[in-house]
Amino acid sequence: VLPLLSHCSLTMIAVQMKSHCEYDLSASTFSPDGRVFQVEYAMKAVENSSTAIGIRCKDGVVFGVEKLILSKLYEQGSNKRIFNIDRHVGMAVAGLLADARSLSEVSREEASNFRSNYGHDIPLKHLADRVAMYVHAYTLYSAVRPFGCSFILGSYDEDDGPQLYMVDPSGISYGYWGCAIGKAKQAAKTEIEKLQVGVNILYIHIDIYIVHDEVKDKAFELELSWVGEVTKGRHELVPKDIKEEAEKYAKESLEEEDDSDEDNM
Amino acid sequence: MSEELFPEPEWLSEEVKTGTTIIAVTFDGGVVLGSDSRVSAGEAVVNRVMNKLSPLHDKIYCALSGSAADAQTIAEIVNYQLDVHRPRTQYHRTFNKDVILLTSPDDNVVVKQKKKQHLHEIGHILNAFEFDKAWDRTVLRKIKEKVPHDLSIEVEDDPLVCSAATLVKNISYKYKEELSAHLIVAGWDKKKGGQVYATLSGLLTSQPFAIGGSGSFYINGFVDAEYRKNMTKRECQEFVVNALTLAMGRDGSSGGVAYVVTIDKDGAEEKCVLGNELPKFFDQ
Repeated sequence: VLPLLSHCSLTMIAVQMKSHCEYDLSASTFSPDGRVFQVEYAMKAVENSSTAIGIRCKDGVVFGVEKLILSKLYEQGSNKRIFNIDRHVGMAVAGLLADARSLSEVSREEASNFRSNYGHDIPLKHLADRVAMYVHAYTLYSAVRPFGCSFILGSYDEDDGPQLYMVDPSGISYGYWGCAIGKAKQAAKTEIEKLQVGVNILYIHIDIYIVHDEVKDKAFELELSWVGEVTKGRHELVPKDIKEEAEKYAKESLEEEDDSDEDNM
Repeated sequence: MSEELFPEPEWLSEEVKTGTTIIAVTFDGGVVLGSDSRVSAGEAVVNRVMNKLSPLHDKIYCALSGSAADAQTIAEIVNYQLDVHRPRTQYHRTFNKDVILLTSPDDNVVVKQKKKQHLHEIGHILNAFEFDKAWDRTVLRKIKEKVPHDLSIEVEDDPLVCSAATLVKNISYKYKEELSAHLIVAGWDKKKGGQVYATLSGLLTSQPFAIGGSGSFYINGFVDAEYRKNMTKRECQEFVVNALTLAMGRDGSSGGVAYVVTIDKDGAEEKCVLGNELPKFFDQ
């Protein structure tokens, strides 16, 4: 009887702190209102990370990631958050970086196996489905925890054109014209919605700068990559000179407070 | 006693080979595959009407040569793998769809057999007919073309010819010591049009045309001289039939009838050219 009482007292305290105790201890438990709290908590981990944006343009896909610099001692370019999955596929992540790295390895293996079995590049929808299935599997058991990261996959193919998919910790994958994940995703989404669909412009710079400003954090490093007709279907980091030009343009237009839709650069 | 007087014929213990002539040629808009129909075991003809053109998918066929069992097995495995490759859509090769016309829009969901039975008994079914599932896909595609793009219908894309060829190559290469079969994979896909792949002993190469089998040695010169790029469908079919006839005329292990399959964007068309319909060459 005594141990039971002490258990009760602990539960009482827990109830005061949050209203969903008992149902959030493992991913294999539903709450009475039909939620799996562990998965929702995993999504919170993503929301606490800095922003990543992907935009699907008429002739390509652009990724931009805001990497907050936590220490002046960090080497520039370390802790990359944009990965190359296959020649033609790129992945930008937000959330727990270690989880994201592990998933990037999983994606690479999927893409590689597909190529080995079927002799051609993996279609992005197929890759997104496969990795989403993998992520979903970790939301089913109490022995493991869900992945604490969301990621955006993008590719460009001559025949199918540009594609963009986002996978979140619950294991769903969505196709997008433009999407943002992380801290300032709402603000970023608003900016993206203002864009006209169907142009390949490095507006992503402006978005990240606007969004970053609004978040009011310390210094950050911008990681930018693209895949499209201009790179002949290969996913690459944006060359330094173009990146600098875009950054300058973004800063200037921010100062003018003018987010109009100018012509491409 | 009887075994000494009448020893078992050698061909009973010989491996069954498709000493063969097979050929696949691309033309402007598709491919044509052709094969003879003789299956031999040593000196005996075990089957004189075998169709060596085996479907891997709706618009991808392969031509078999070498050991009959090996070739057929590889073709069946790859056929199965390509079926499984279909993304997310449940397809069973022999499943036919029922179309049922009901008297009232309230009888709107007819799924299980029992319900259909019941509706039939109470006289609610006006008419019912089955159609082949290939029709189903064509209908879906036509609907998708007409309907705006944001209507989500799962129309699965046909697999690429190079996927089928890679699957064949992977098996041929992995088991190359145990198997002795050469498959030519040919078909049409919307990305690259008509293609022909040779997969001899586990290599994989895309070619404008390919020949294989024991009879092919006799027509190497002929096909090299007579092949032209971008033939019309009719010219290509004639070219294939001519090549087969010449090979069958000289190779002891090729003969019978000629099977021809033409594949283009509209599908695959099978034809059988009987012995007396084959073209006549210098035949003294």
